[in-house]
Amino acid sequence: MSKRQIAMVMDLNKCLGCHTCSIACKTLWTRREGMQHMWWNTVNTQPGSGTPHGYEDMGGGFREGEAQKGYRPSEDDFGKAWDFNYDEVFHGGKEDAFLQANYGEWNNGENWKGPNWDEDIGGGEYPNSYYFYLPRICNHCTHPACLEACPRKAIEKREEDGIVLINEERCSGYRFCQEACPYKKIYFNETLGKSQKCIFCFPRIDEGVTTACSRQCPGRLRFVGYLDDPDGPIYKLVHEHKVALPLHSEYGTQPNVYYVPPISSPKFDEDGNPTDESRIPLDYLEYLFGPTVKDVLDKIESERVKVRNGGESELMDLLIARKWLDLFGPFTKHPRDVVTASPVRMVGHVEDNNPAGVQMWDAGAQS
Amino acid sequence: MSVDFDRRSFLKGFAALSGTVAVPGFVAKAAASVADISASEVPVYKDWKDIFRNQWSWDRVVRSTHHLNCWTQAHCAWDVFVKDGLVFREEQAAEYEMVNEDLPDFNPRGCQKGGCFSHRMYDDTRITHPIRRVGPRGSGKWERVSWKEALDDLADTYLDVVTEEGTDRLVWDLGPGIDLGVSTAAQGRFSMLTQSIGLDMDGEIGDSRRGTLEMFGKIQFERSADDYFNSDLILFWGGNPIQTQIPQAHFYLEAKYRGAKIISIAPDLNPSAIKADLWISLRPGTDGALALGVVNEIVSRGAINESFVKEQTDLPLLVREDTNEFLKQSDLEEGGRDDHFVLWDDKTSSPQIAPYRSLKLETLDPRLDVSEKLTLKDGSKVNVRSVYSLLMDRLEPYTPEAVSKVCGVNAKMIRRLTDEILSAKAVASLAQTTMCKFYHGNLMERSVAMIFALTGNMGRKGAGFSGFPLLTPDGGDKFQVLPDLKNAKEVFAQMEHALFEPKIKAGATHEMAMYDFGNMMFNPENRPLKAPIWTSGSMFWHVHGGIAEHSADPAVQEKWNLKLKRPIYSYLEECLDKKWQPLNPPRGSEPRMMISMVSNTMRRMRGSEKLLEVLWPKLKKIVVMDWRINSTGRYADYVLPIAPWYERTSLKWVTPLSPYLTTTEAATKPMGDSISDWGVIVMLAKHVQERARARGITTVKSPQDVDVNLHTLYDDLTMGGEFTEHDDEKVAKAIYDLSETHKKQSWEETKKKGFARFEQLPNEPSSIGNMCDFPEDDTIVPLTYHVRDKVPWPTATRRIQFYIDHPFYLELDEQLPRYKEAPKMGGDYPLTMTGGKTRWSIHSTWRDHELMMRLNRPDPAFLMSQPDAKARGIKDGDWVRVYNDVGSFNVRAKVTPSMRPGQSLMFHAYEKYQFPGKGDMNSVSPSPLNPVEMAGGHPHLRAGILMGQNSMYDRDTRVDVELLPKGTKV
Repeated sequence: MSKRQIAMVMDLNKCLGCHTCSIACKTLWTRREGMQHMWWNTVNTQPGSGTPHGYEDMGGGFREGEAQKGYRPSEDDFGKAWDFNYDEVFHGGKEDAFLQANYGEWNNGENWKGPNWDEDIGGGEYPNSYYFYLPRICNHCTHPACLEACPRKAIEKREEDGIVLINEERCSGYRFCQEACPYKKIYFNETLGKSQKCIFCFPRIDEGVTTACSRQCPGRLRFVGYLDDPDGPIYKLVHEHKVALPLHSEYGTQPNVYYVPPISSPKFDEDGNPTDESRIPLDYLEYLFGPTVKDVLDKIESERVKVRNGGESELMDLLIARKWLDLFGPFTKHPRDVVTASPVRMVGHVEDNNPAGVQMWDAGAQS
Repeated sequence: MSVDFDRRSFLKGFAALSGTVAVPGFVAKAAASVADISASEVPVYKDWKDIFRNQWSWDRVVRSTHHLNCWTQAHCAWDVFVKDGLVFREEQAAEYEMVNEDLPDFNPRGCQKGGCFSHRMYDDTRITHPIRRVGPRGSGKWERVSWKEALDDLADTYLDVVTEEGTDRLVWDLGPGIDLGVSTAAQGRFSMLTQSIGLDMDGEIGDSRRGTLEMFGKIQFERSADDYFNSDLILFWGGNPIQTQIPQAHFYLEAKYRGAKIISIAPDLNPSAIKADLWISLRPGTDGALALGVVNEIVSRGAINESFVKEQTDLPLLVREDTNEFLKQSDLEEGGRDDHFVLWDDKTSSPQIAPYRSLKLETLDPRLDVSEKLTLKDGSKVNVRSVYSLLMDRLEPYTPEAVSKVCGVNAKMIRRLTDEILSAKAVASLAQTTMCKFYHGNLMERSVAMIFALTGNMGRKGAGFSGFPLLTPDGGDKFQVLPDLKNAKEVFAQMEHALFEPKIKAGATHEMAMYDFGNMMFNPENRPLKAPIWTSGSMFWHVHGGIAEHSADPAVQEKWNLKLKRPIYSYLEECLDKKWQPLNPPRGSEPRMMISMVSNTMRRMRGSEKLLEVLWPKLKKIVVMDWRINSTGRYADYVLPIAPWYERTSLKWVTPLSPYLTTTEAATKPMGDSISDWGVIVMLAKHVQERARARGITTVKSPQDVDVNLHTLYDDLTMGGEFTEHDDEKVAKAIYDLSETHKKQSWEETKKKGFARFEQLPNEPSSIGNMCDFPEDDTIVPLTYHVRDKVPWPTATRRIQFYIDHPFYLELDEQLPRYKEAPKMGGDYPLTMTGGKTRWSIHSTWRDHELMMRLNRPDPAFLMSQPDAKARGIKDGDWVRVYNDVGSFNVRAKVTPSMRPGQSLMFHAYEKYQFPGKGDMNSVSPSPLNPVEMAGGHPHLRAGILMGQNSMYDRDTRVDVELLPKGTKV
């Protein structure tokens, strides 16, 4: 048990499905060799197969304290990072060349699907179709199945904040962690032979800067902070107002990412009139977020009515977060104010007045 | 253990490719040098965590942004992180101050596209040297050339064209990336000095917002995004902001937590509809009918805001029943003015002249429902009726029950929508350019706008019909027009005084005089000063490009159900004969040279194959300026490598939605031989000057007899060498300093900070239409100068105008809003192919970017409903052929329950080369001309900067789909 636990609340009512979080993470962390297919942060349309495809049926986690058998997702399950024939198209001298991904035979099974293949499809039938977006990162569980499953003891849960990290020096690539994680948020780097996953931006957190996915989120839906900080938004949303719920808590790992569940417009009856029932079926939301989800949806709606009629609501104010930095608890430092965190340098520091660093071309020789 | 392997492998990858045209030798050198340094300097890591810590490190940080046309989403201040001389990452600056304590702030702003531009700009699509085609156009065979070879060749061709055929034969294809900043400064000065022609792309793109122009006399007005937080009801009608306004979409959703309701009105359950409190799914193209049903309900409930409509609209004005034209003072009195209109005053029971210089009614008490007989000045009698009275007749058939049959929304729901609108204190609609992409989009927009005008939901906090958002610093025009910057502000002020003062004395508002100034750009004849020439892009492509030929056959008009009274060409001829729409070069004068900048015509033009057939053979040189070989570049003679935004310093227009001027600062030097737009155009001028002198060419005359000095072109463009090809930043600073919109920060401060809030309404044609204050500590509420301060609207009647008495409108019965059935463009096929901006790209800029494609689908997707797919044996992911009478294309089906049966959808901006086989998504869209949009010769129906030009349409396109044989894509 860590001394404190860092946590994230994601308000699904504010999620735009834009993937700025995915890109923020990709451009910062998963650009090394062997990481092309990795999206430590994913966003998926729900209902849908998620990432990796069908992860909810892949086992792992605990049931009544017992570790459960799990499936080890392959790169195909996550969705491959396709390459494209740019050179052929632009410089190949072929008039009819067209841009193609190297996914091989199309319409041949499921394995060519990318990580967000079923975007905006969802469920139901027109006009009672429905969907919403579910962003996911590693849950940095209080009871991490991955940690217990690792025979190398390569997975650590940080004492100071509960961030779960795979020690890349100790990891031997046995991949038991992939089987054990019920959320299937661990990737495998074939080149390095090591498992890799979300690091909760620990180099940033250590400097007081919130995670890239939360700071770059234009929807302003990610709250970050310590779970036990009574003044922080996380504590208020999770423990006080009880509107933020864990995903699949039955997996038994005590995840530390919480979700404000999505409200939705009414379903239509046969004549096209709105009913009292919400578009997203309650049983689906209960499947994801547990039995209290109805109470949460009702609470959000009733607080909305309250403020619509001129009343005050701490909950609505919290979720609005007029001041953006209020989302991030103690992690409000601007990245620019961090004196470059690097303990090592590849090349000497480049002077500010010499932006190019590498002499690229002689400006005078342009014409 | 390797560090930052991807970037080193990137450089090595470049090195391996060096020798091809795409990759310059210097990159190989750079790669080698980085490799050498890293080999000697990479220390031993203390801990595996250091690898991660090192990934989050940088040499320097620069404020920048992406100056393409993100339009409603423009722009966001970013920190650009530079390491080892390359930009390796970006992250939002997120330093927008709180506007006030009651409003959510603007942070962090940004989207996933901006978040990976550093990856995009170095990917395999980048070109870094000028290239020239070696095979036939479109063959994809290129050779690398030097700037000198390229520019001398272009200069010589240009001089041939100008001296042999005329100055108006060089055409600038200006696309949506036009910045009205440093890049436009170069093109504008070049056009001003050479009297060459710039194409205004607004209508051609399909952004004409014609109905808004008809009603408000302008299209450019919108609120700041945080003002939606003040709304009680937000109508997502015609737009999909969760997908297309990513940086500020949070305001809509936060408004919900403040108690606002959102109603989405769209055929499909799009990503914005899922956020709504109520989704109203209607048949595509029937929005106007639905709106008329709501208006009918508002009227029959007696819920019109009478004081608002009496003061602000033309509803009390009188119309002659004999001519169907407005009754004017000149009809009633000798010496009466024909710009003075008449209303019926209840106080005096007599016709009175409507207020002119102000909207204030003073002692007048206009009656709304008027039907009277009046005596004209010649003694004859005429029946007159008020616009209100005519409107009541017009609205009669549009009962909720009747409308329900048209739009597929039940009558109860239409009444519910009316209830919601009438019970909200502040109703706002959304900035959108969807409706104007329908053939009868003008009618749709007017019908929707009527709801707002009748209920007084205009010009108030959180309330209003939204126009076309645009906000630009007002120094750009000055920089383009002035011979030099000596006492520039004073000179320009005098010029403005001379141009504006007589008009204002005669009764024009400042806004109206500004629109005259904008209109002047389109009329090279009789201009009081030498200025750049703009012309209608859509007219140019229709006439010179042959797009009009798609619908030339009157039998096709019949088949497509256009319901015109005459053949399209008859309207076109009339429009051109009467000079109702600008067209330069005029008919009969062939364009000979086209430079495409910040543009990608072959990607976006509806029915673009026609251009290859009709326009291309006329052009001696086609030049594309870009940092990649876009769809247009593929068919060009030259592609010139432009430096992307991180490699230059610039500024660009934004919109009131995010009222912050946002700047770029060069983070690194341009790669290879890349140069900024400014640099390329100035260098072209230099080569023209040099070649002119060498060939003994001096001054030529434009068709309007304006002197064009070819032998001093560079000297004149650069203001005597003051602003040379390397001086982007100096130009940016000059434009900033010439602007009255930003006084609180110096250019240096703004560049460092990356953004500056607009401090006042720009005095400039493309953004003056906002007509409101720009407070530092509150939201921006457009049109308050009209609604609060009673400044007349820039329409013929000086009011929000329901009634249009132009002959084309009378001929086609569009004098008042009505519903017209959507045509079947492309033939009588069962599926309507709608569209929309994608989440995954801004225009085509990221459309073929690997990260974006990996995060959705790698092939173009054709969205269709489950029943439509099932009926054709099509499953999600199948390759299909989409076709109609004019064309076809091959695409992968995406089958979804969120599509309305009968609707299909192609999201925006796939490049031509993303479609296997012949045809692309535009091949099925013939975009026939709509006569009313060509109307002109009217006080407010005329071409102006980014408005008043006829649109192009694709949303009424009808298609069918068939499954391609298994295992084939063609």
